[in-house]
Amino acid sequence: MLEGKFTQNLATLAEIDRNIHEPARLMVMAWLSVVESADFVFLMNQTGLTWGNLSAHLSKLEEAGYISVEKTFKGKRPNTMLQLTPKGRQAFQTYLQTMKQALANLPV
Amino acid sequence: MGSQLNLKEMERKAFRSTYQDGLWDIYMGGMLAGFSLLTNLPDSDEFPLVRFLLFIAVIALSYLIFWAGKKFITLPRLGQARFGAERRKRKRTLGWILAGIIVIQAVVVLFSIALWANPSLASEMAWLSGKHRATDLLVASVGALFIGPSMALVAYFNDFPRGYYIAVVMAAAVFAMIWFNQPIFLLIAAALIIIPGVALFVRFLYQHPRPPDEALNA
Repeated sequence: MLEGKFTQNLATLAEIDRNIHEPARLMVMAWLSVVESADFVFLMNQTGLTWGNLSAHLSKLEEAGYISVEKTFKGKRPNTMLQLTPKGRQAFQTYLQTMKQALANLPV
Repeated sequence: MGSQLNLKEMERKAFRSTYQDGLWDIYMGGMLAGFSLLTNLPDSDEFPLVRFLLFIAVIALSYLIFWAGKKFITLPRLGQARFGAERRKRKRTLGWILAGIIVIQAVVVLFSIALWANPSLASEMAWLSGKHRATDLLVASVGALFIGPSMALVAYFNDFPRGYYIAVVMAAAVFAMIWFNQPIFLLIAAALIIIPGVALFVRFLYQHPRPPDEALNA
């Protein structure tokens, strides 16, 4: 009985969204999930990622359709605001639930 | 990543990070210093407007420091974020409450003016000023009760814990100023608010160096 549940949990883990599961991207998704939108510097500060690293992860999330990028100008400076798309928000919620389910009954 | 993922706490931390530069404290302290100047400087017959202009100048300078500091120092270092509907709702609620307080203050001021302008009404209200110390206590309490709770509400709805400290200092200063008839208390309170603000600002500059240009222009 217990073994069956354990195997089922492991099967759930295999379905984890790998676009989100990577730690840096998970941080970005988590921070974007608690605000409406944020700019690049804000995310750098909150996640502690470098510019290059963050940029690469944001590209992946954008490719997956999880974040949208709005480019505007503030005076002469470009200003990029990032936000979770509805698809991204849904994917993040699903990820959290899946992880919770999968980890809840694992024998420690 | 070692800590538990607590989304509510993360949102609160992100929101509160906007206050870590100490500029709000400097602004509030500056306003108080302005009022202190208004009450400390002697009336001048030659330049009746000087005192008032000085007051406006100090208030304007405080706001300029706040605005320029946010725009040119804090935002480039901290970045910016737009917060959700819940925060906007709190802001709106605060706006309504402060508007209500302003209306009550206006009524009190108008009532005072009516008393000064109408000696017969004033004599009818003589019971209120029968004992000088009692009147002072009443005025001091009303003054402190306007300032303290108003600032505490600002602190609550803006999720700004240092605001409670500012509220207590401001309320105590207003009470002491009226009770002891010594405007210097406002200046002391302004210093007690500005000094921690400046310390926070210096710490903020140390902790948040300017990000690389490519990040600022991203």
